[in-house]
Amino acid sequence: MDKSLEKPLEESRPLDCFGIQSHLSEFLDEKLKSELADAVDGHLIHCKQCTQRNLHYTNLIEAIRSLPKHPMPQTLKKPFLFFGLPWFSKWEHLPWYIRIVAETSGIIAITLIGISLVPKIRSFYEQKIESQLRDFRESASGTGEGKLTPTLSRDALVILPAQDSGDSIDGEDEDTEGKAPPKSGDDEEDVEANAKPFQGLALARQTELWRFTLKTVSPDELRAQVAKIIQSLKIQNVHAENGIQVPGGIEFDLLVAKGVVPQLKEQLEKLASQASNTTEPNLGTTDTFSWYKVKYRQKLPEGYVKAVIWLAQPNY
Amino acid sequence: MSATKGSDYFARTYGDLLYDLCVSLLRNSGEAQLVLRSLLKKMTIQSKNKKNAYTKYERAWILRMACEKLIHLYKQSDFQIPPEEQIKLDSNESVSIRLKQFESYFHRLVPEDQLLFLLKEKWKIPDTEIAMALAIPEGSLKIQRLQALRTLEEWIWTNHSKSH
Repeated sequence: MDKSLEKPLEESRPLDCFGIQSHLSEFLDEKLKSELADAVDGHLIHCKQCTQRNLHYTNLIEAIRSLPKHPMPQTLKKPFLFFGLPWFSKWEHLPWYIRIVAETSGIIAITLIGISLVPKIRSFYEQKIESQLRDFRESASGTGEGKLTPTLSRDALVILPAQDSGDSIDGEDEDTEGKAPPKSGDDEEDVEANAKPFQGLALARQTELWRFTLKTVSPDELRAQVAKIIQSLKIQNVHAENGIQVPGGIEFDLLVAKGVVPQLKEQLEKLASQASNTTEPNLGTTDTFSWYKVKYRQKLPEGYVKAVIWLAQPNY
Repeated sequence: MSATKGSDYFARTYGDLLYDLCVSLLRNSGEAQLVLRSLLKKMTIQSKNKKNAYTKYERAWILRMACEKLIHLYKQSDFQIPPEEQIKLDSNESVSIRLKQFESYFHRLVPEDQLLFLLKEKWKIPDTEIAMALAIPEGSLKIQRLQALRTLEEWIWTNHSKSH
């Protein structure tokens, strides 16, 4: 309100109940000019209603002022983790584009470092295990048991009999190539678990597994012919010379020199073709013979791959 | 306001005031803490904006943000006094008992009036800053204050007189 207009008006006539209202807020705050304050006081002496109201308002204001103040809890005062540290505060005040670039670079760097460290940590762990094994071998050599324990090192490893882990496809990757994809339920590991040790041979870190499937109503008839092929190609049969009889067919678990695989495949295809012509004329060669290749992570002698010939009955 | 103030600064400088406003209005310390956290976060973010680079009116700017948020929350939650408390308040015959339960009457006021009283009477904030915080002209603030006082007077004194 314009003060210049206010003064002559107030001076010209005494304050009534309505006039009091326009100054009551300042009056309650005791911020009213002395002349006006005197005028209000003068009115309050005579007007019982305004006096009562003023008293009520004063009581109310006192009551509001006496309401308890709630201090902020300590938990809110304490900054979370390192957020209260001075460097973080400075960091927080950097422009957003600098922070985003730096934070993104940091995350990428940490991820890359993590990825590069994993093989090193693994190698360190393996070395530790190897040193423990070496110690064990040395301690056992005093009692004559050391001769039975093969040396285990990263560069020149010797296959130990694998333990049956019960995993489904432990040593295989999904990098298949061939005519038929791997079927669920194929358990190469069971075969791997029973593999005999090949002492003194260097091991490749990654190798291949070839799986040949010949579907036939009478696997026993083909068994001898497959065994013959294996013998002719001088392939080492890991499991048993004539394969193993398992539910659904016969399986040959082989360790094959890499160069021999094409010959083996050719021979088996030929055999499958003959078999389909004689015993199962309704089935084509492609139905009776299929193969695929996958990466195989189990340790094998250098230059060798694993091959499994599976003489399966059609239902399997 | 400097554009380089973090939430720790706001918490240190205005934490008690803001927390008291939150608790007084929402009457729930847990909710008040959540609201305060969100307010501090919002202030930190907004303080980085050059448009908000005030120096002189920092508190008014903060109070404006807090009042807006609290009024919004209050209206959104449709906060009402439970019927039993309402009956209890109305059945009080003695003014002295009513004054003892002043807090309950105070919370019957609209949030704008509650904030006005809290800022002016409890925290002694100048009228100019309260007017900015509540986004009303300073003249209207005085009228609003008297109206709120009149409402409280009616609840505590006039209704009491009528009942006799």
